[in-house]
Amino acid sequence: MDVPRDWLSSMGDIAKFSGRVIAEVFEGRAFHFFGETLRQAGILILGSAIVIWGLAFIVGLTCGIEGAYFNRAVGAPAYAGVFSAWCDLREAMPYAFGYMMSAKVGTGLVAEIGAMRISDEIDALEVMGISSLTFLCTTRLLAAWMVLPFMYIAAVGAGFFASYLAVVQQIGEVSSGGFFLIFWMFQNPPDLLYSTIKGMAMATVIVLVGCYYGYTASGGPVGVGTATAKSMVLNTVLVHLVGMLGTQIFWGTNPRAPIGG
Amino acid sequence: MTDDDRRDDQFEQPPEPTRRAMTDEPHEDIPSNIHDQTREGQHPYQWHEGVNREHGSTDAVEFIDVKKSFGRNTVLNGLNFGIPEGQISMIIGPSGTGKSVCIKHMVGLLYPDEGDVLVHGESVPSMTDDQLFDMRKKFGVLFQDGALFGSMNVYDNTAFPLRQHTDKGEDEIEEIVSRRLREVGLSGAIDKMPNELSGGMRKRAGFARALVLDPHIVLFDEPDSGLDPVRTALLCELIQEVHAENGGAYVVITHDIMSARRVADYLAVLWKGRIVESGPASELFNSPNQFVRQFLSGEARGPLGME
Amino acid sequence: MVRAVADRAFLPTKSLLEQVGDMMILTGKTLLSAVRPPFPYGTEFVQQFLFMLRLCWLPLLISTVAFGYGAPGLQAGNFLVIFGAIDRLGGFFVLASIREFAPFVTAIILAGVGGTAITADLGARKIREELDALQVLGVDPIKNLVVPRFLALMIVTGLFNIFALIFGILGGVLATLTFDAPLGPFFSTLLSNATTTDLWGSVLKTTLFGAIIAIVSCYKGMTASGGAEGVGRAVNQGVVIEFLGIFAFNYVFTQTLLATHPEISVIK
Repeated sequence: MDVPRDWLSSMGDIAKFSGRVIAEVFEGRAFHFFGETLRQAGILILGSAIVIWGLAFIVGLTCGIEGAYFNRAVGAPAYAGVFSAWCDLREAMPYAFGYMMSAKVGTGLVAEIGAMRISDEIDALEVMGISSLTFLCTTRLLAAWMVLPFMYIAAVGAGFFASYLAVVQQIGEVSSGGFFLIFWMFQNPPDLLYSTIKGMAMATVIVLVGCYYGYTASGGPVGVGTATAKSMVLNTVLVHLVGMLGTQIFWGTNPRAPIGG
Repeated sequence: MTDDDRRDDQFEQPPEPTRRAMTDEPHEDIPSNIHDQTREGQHPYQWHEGVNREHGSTDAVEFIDVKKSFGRNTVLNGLNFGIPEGQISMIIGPSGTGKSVCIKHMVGLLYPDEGDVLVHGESVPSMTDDQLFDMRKKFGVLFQDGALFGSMNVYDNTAFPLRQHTDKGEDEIEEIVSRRLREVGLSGAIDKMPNELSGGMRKRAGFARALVLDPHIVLFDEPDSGLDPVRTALLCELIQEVHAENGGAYVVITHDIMSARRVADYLAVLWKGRIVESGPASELFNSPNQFVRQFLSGEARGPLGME
Repeated sequence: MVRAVADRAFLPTKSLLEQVGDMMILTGKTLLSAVRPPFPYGTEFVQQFLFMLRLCWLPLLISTVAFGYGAPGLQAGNFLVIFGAIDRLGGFFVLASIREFAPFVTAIILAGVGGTAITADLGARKIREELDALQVLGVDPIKNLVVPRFLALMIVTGLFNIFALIFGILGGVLATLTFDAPLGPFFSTLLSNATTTDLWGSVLKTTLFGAIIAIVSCYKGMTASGGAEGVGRAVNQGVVIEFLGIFAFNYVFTQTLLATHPEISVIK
């Protein structure tokens, strides 16, 4: 029962911390350090894009073949496009994005900022009259908000492409035209928006939790390692909860399908 | 932690500070963990009979009856002393007696539970955030191991305070940075990243960065840790040269007696959260106080044990 | 200049391949060490097993219910409601929960919670030079540290899969209730579609996930390098490799299972 007790006691702190960082972004404080924000954005792209797209691709493949087999089983192989359209966009991609974000970016933040904390770099910043919270955390959150929507949509694209490959090329029961017909029929613009909102909500949570654990790390390199592990636990659970909430809020019991009136 | 957090958890208003001369009787409010460190039948502060001697100049930084605890661990318990202007002062004492905590109080990275810290007469704990940032511009701090920013090279690290706090053009910045790096002997390492430097080089780079804004007070947190005796001697020489050139009040934390002999104009000996004795270095090296004599000569026998 | 570009692209790939190679070697050594006597790792094995149980049960519970309710529950339920076939949700859950979601959510949690704990722990020991001290005292780190974790993780992940199945199905039950549909048909289609092939496929897959997680986390922990970032970075890299490995392996396994046992994809 140590872990849940740990969470509850940190919840208040994390909420306060997140509130402060978000407020600072909206107050425009990060623009003082715009150079740093851009640098962080660059690091996000160079460091994380490939892994995130890679996972999106693999998950897209899996979704594709499961969908193909399932549709074949219910006797509607041509409808394999539906599975891809819905499963990928609404569920699989946000989760894949959330998982890889928490693994690569979330733990990366804790490791990096935590290392700065224990080698006195954060104190050095404070002593030089720079607000370390703004310089380190607010810039990273703003960078994430700037860069991630595009990375997310590209990931969705990668996932769709992978599903297409799996269904049309690999299983080969549906022609590419047939796939795309159904696929596009079952898409609608709000879905992409909602899916992106889900992904961005997960990303925001992950960046804030990562910054919190890094910023409050203590106890030498070992302490940083423990903080990294703890942040991953919290992030994983939060990704699932955000996913569930997103589904409930956006799709609830309204399927928004183009059939059945 | 931001300053708000620190202020929130520490205290509301600093109590009225009172001056107390060192020759008063020691107080009876001795925290329990101090007893663990004392041998049987001894009063923990029986050796703290030394005197705060005059140093003949004004105080740059003053500690008035400062107390600080972390949980059950009392680190500072009634600290009283002043750092003189224009001299190189050294705070020495056994490991773990709160010397780094002392430095952090001077720049407002920590606030005392009781008591007051004055910098040029202004009380640090009662400053607003803006006043605090202004006050910190008077300081330069060299942290243990340099605390350089891992993502920037030596030049950018040293130029960082200038770029953030002044409107100087790149040419002027280049001139200042080159001069400081030359002073510390790192002209050849301008493009290197911190993880490519040796420990001694990192400290020197940190020193250059601390000097860039022409600070009035420079703090050194155990600059000789992890250095061999020769490099330590060279660093001491560097501190003296730079001080002779630039003036100001330098405060060095250390437990290396050789450095104290070489460099210190003013010495304060800290033990169990209080000053045992302080004063001009020459007088302390001839002090009759038993603890000071043991510590300054590196003897195994005396009031200080293995605790 | 071409050299510089080639270096930039080549070196990370080379180091990645080296690491994968090292991990394969570690797997081999672990398997050999596990079966060769003596077997001093019994206590450590039980300790690790209980540690993983204690650490992961709650995150897994929350995550599987959340996932089961949202993804297959609400989304698929929506789809089936259109066809008036909400009772088939049970059948879909066989596909969803048993074959896919329970295994990979279990694996994600065990990698994110258990794997990181192992990497942080072994990494801390490496930094404090405890691993070197153990070797000097004549203790084989592979037999005494890696093998028990390997075995414990494999078994715990397999068992947690069943736990996740149950709670995932609970999520499905909640979704069915949200649609105001009766539960009877849900369970009947669930049970009529569940095959033993699905079940053992699922457990086998998860057990192998456990093996991947164990090897990667132990390797990363034991090779953590010094410096303030060292252990944190090891956890970071470990968890990324684990996630990629889990999903890649999942794809291959599912493809193989579905192709070799086509009868399981028939929905009755």
